[in-house]
Amino acid sequence: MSDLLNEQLSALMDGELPPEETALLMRRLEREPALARRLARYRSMGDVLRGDRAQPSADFASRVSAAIAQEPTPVTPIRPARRQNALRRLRPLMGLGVAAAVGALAVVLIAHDPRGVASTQTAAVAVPTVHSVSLPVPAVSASMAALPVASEPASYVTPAAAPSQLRPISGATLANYVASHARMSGALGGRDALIHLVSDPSAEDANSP
Amino acid sequence: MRGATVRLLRLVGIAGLLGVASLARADSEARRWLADMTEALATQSYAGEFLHLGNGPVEKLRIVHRVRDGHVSERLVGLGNARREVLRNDGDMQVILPDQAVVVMEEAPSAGSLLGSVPTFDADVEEHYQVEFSGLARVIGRSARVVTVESRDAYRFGYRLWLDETTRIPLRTDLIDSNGRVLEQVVFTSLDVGAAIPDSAFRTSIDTSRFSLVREHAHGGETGHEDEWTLSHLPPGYRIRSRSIERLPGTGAPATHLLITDGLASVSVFIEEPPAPPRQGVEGEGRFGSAYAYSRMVAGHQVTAVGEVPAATVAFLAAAVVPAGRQRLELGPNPPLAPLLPSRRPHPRPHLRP
Repeated sequence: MSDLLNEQLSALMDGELPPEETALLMRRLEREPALARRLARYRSMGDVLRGDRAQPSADFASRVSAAIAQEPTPVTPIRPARRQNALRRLRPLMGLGVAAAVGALAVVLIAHDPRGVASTQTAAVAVPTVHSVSLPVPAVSASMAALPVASEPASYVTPAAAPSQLRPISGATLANYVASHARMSGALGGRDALIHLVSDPSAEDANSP
Repeated sequence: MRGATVRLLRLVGIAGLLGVASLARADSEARRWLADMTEALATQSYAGEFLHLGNGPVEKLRIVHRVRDGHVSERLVGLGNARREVLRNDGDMQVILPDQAVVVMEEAPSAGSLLGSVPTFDADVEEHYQVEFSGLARVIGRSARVVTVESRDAYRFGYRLWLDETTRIPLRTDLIDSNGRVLEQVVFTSLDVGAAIPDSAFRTSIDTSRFSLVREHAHGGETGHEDEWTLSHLPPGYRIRSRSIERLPGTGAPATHLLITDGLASVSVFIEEPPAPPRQGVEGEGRFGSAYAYSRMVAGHQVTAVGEVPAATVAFLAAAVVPAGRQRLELGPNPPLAPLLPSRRPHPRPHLRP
């Protein structure tokens, strides 16, 4: 990995890469999963290093968008959405679309559920982006330690500290649980689960070391 | 002199009150934008491509959503090699998995969008999330207002949404943790709203004639022994919204299901019968997109907490599962604070396999 490339990735992260270079780099990211993984690591590192609250200013993603869009998207003038009673009645149903689709995918995935087999391998069927927790949530430990119940708080947050004793949840089993949960919750989180399911399964294990 | 001071204080007071009032107005305006967003995603016609950026590779997807004469058509396509897609035509949904040569048919709801929704914000929710406008920006050449849904503690995630000034479509959505770190992003790279979308946009180019067909029917909540399990403690702001017996998709195995929510975030806790040999129980954690899961064994039963919440929240909830005979947590409209009960013997430790 060349220094130039590292610099470009770094600049992309900081939102300082010129649009034309961003477009080229993004095309390369699409072709090279290894590069995308490196970018992902940069992102986590950058987040940790910065440690401050992210500001919605000139930022990484919108620069990426602008660069990829190439030609400007025509803005279609239409009236702002208006509230209508008929639509309001529909609202309780919203989000179920996500749940249903996620559920449908899980049906396929569960058929290959290896749970019960004495194995820690992920499902034979590729489930995108299944990996163990890797995002640092130090604030959680601190706040949980502050709870009165937490005279033994470490027990709730120590799974990562004793990985050898834990059997990870297999990919298909996890998809199954997520699907069951999404049926009953929907919302933005469900959308995210759906995106992961529809995404390219070859992207799996992207976060593995 | 004194009169002048009083007048000045009065002015300052009035100005302060006006300031508070305008802040409150701004917040309620931000909440209204969120409601408009949910409605826009469900009721407008749009087509676009978006990137999904998480801590894995960058994913590119295409969404087409059309509402015409009361009929909803929708198509979500992954643009990676697998070309998986979801097709929806009013109440019918098809999930096409070319990499597995499978088509799954399922019933779909008659409204909503695959891009999701947010629930209505009320006082309970606002106790744990701050909703506000946090700036103006331009995304793919469109003017957007940034609405931040900020979590007030580390037991839940927040969102930052770039809502199109004209259409209220979220041009970009960030999932953020309580430290403001961005965990995942969904950002449109192109979007066309309101244009006529032909029927051909909802036909797959994949030849599915040789694919196997799986039909899935919605599972309804059942009742039975759902009261046999409960939680000894809850994270702040969370409450048990429902208990039921659910059949897990695929296996059809019944499980006690507790749905725990803070009004925006939700977590499911599943308690399954002891696995029949040679199946083994599972202990550990997992992550699926922005959803975290934690599994452990309790009294021989498989307990799993899963939801779009931080890892520590699912670990907390999985650790708090107890047979209902020991401690009973009442369902109620008010979110109880942790610890819920001053317990003689507080938390069960997650049982680790020796």
